[in-house]
Amino acid sequence: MADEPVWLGAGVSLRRRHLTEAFVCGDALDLVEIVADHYFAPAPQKNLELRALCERFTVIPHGLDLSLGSAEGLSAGYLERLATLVDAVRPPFWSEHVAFTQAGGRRIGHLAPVPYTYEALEAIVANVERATSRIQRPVILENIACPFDIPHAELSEAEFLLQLTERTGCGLLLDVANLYYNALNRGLDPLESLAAFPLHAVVQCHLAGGHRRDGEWIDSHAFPVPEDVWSLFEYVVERAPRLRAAIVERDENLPAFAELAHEAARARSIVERRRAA
Amino acid sequence: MSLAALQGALAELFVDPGARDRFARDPAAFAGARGLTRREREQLAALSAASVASYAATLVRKRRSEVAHLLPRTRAALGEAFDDAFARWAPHVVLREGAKRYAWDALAFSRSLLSDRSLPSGVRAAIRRDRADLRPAVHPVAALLRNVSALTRARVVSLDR
Repeated sequence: MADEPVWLGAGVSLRRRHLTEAFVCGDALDLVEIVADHYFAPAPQKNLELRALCERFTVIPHGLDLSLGSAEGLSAGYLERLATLVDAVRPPFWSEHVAFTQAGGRRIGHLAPVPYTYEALEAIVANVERATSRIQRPVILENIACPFDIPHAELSEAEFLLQLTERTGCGLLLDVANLYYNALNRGLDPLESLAAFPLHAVVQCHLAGGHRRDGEWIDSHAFPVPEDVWSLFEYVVERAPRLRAAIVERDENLPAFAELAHEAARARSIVERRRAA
Repeated sequence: MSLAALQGALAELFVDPGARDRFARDPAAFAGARGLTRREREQLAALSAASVASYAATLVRKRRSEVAHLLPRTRAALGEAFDDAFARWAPHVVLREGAKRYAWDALAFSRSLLSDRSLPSGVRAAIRRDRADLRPAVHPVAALLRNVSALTRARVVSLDR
């Protein structure tokens, strides 16, 4: 019988400005997520910072540029840097995106959507297998925010992710805000989108707040988690038996650390309340 | 290989304003002659030009946000003009590879700002101070010089005591 997944807790995606407060007020956090790219080939002081973080918290490395969805395969250099970091941190798992960030010699600089086709599924499965053969810790895969889909898909996003988890054995990082804003931008009911999502495979959630600009919702990580996203998170918690962690993200309009810690505490209390019921 | 060609065409659309113009004028022509299957040509041609333009603008905003964090004095000195200048500059400059890509981006953008001789001296000073802080992040020799300078200052303090 498989072991019961251990709930690791709630935390924040750590930004430099909050580093000191994270150590001083660290009791408010169970874990922290770090942007993996910020700790590649670090300067000596970054090495010390990383070591201190690992001594204080459970640290989850979050990659941005592995380009798992790329038909051209993975960058050997990026994979090696990521593997070195994961080897050093020894996290319970690490995370990346269902996206591509480069193609045809062009760097996109952000996460671009893969077409939901069987050919793209084969490409990402092969890339995940290559990554996990080098990095000996489990990876979880995140749904991205994008205001459009590549037309003429053969699968829905939910079907694509379900087959991806079945083929690779990977868990999912469900970004609840990404799902919410994607649904709004497509005129869909977010709860219906969530109900179709393979929630049984969700290992971690991201929670964030975006804003509306020129008629389009943008997952800008610039505002507190909206109540609608909290409601969706409660729905997830009831239906995701493998859920192990929840991370609050904020990249813009950084508030006082206490505000983010408060949101992390709210996520933790939702999980603990539901699991006690 | 044709998925790679499709992704290459998408990447071109996302980062190249000229490609977006050609696509907006004639999506079918843009999708042709790229080694795509018929289905992929249809996928590409069926993309909304407005959605692609909106996504491309999001990419520039994301890149600008990263660069603004690295050039705080420049951002404060220029205000909203910083955003306008970056929006004009970024589409013509390819983002470099690697963990320090935004630091390189910030250095290149700030260099382009300094080429404008009409900027007030206070703004130019702010840009130079940001550049001085950034250089050690990407230039090992600059980092070495900064560390030697810090050690020298520490030694002087130590001798003074």
